[in-house]
Amino acid sequence: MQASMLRIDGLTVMPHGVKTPICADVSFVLRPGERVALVGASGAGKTTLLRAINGSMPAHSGTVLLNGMRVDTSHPRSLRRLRRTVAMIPQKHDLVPRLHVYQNVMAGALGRWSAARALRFLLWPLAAELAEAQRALEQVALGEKLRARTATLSGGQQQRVAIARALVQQPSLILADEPIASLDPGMARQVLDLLCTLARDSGVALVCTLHQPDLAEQYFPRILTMESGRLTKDGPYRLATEAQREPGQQQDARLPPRGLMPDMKQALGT
Amino acid sequence: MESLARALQTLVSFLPPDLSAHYLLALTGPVLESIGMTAGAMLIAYMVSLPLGLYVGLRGPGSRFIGFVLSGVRAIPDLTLAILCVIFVGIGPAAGMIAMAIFYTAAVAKIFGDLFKTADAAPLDAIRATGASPVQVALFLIPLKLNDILSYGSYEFESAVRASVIVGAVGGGGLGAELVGTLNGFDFQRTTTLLLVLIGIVAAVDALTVRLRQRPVWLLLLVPPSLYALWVFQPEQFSLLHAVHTIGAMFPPSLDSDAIARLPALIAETCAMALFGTVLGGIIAFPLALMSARTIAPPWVALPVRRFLEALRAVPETVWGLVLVAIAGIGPEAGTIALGLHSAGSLGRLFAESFENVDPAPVLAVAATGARPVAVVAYATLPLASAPIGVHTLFRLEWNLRQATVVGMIGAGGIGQALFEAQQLFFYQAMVAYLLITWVMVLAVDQLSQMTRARAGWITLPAEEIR
Ligand SMILES: Nc1ncnc2c1ncn2[C@@H]1O[C@H](COP(=O)(O)OP(=O)(O)OP(=O)(O)O)[C@@H](O)[C@H]1O
Ligand SMILES: [Mg+2]
Repeated sequence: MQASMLRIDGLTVMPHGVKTPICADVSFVLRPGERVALVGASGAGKTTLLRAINGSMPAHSGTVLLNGMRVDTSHPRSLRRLRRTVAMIPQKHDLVPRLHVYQNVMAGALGRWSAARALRFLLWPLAAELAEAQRALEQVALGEKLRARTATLSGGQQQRVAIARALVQQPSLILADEPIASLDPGMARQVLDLLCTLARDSGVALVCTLHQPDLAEQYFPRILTMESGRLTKDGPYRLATEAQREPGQQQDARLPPRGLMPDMKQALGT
Repeated sequence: MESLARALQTLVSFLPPDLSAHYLLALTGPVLESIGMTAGAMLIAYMVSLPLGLYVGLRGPGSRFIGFVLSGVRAIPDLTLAILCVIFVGIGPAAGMIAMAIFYTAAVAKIFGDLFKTADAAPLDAIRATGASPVQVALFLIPLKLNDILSYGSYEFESAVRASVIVGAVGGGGLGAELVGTLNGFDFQRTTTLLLVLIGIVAAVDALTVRLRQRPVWLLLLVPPSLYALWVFQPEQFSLLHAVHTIGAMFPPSLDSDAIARLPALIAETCAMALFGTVLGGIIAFPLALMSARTIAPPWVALPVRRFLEALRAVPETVWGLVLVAIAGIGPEAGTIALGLHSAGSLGRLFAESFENVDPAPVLAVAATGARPVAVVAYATLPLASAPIGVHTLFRLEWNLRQATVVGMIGAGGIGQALFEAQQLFFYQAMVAYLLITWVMVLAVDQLSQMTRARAGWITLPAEEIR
């Protein structure tokens, strides 16, 4: 039996005051080094599912097991230890605009740093630490922005800083929430190459939400489809595209070459 | 070193507070007097400032001039007004009430005027188009801005409750007079009691105004007792002859050449008090704000720390000044610490709100890396809150520049102390000269802060920073 890296059973997410669950009875298993795309219409609950996996969003019922440990019922301290191994690349980047780029990038190392080291780095970064940030930034083609103020970066550059932060974390699971939404097609491919190589070579598991069916098909052997909170399909590309289709679209209409659009989310008008 | 030891010794003699039933019962009189003074003064202030504010807000003829006069009156510190009123109508609550009525009429009218000026133009034009009279337009404006009127109005009321102790301290009756009595009689344990009573009253008024804001109609219930207070505390005798005589002794204002030569040093000392007071306040406020931010600290820490900050803030600078002059002696140290203590309370609350209001997403993102809480605060909460914290501190510095002149008037250093000494020695001509100088200084700071405020329009300010 192959060890599962992530096992989700009957996960339901329903915050206070919400009538219908945002994620309903979601179950799936992920092996080390496996890469899956998570697709589904806007508002289907993809981001919420990722947030439940890293414990940012409390589960209403069901279980989330990460390397054999419960995420959903963890105490703050053990949840913190679990989270070191999970890197989230948030949909809106969620960087701190006032910090320098290298400070945002090395925030990924905070899980393994002592409090004293974390505070010292803010005021007095060592050359070795800066070199680590530099390496991560070079992987996303942002080497020259090491010392820039984060607020001065473009949307696509900020997205890549968030990816560099995840790389620095040295995780065993990456949760990437539309990591290429603000990138041009060339850069999008470069980032997907990077994430998928990481999964293949270093055994990092990867869950990646995407709005581009062709890229999902091309980069991911397995595709999970969400529809209003439920996992409806778990399999290859063809099945996934059915759910991706917007209501009102002709059943047999050929899908436009969505992968060529730099930002699917904008194209969908959401 | 010796003076420090003496100060500490004095400090210890403030404890424990005198909480005997006998003394608490005896305090009902001063408490009622302070509240009555405030209620009467604020009744006048609201009654006069509402039409005045509407007139200024609708830009009636001469409204610019009225606005100018209001700014000028508002720049006369409440303490100065109280000193003048005591000279004219004699020691007692009447003097305090008149001083507060003048100060708060100007303050509230200015705020109401600014509020009505910013009213949405479109509905007003629609009303005007129906041929409504100016009075009808004005009546239409009130419901449009009711929420703002209530929140700024109630903030000013709370501020007036605190001010009633200040004006009382220079002969305006109530708790302030009692406080000075205990200090002069070395009855320090009772001073502590009075401070606690003041903190309690401010907290109660705060809670009450929050309730009343939800049901504004109940405000009408406060009118009869306020009218009663107005009647009870009306000035008993106002001798025109005495007033003319006193004014005669005050004019022309003059300073001898020695005093003029000392002026720059005094002004510098006042500025230094403001600067160090703000720094001290910020240093105290920062850790306490972290401990009292609900998004950072657990409730069993946050709640008591918040109460402590509110207590520091409930005691005005001048009242801290009175206490500190008793402990540390006359001089700028007392004034600086006084400014610092009150600023710590104000800034602490504002800093805590800044921490609570940061964008939660980057904070969650840093926490999601498995970072320790300390690191999350250092890498996300602090840098995200640094802009509002800087703005709050700058505005507090401006406010303290103003308050540094005022707090000096009870002997706590700077130009205010020169005024205090002139008054003690009945050098009325010098006193008026100093009054004019402090007035010009405060006016200058007020203008300066309005200019910076206009530039910093991107940040929404809480009621207490709109002045
Ligand atoms: N904390 C919350 N409380 C209440 N409702 C929420 C909360 N978080 C998300 N939702 C709702 O859950 C639904 C799914 O949101 P989610 O962000 O997971 O969608 P998504 O699939 O990521 O969409 P997109 O592709 O646009 O990013 C939305 O309707 C959203 O309004
Ligand atoms: Mg999403």
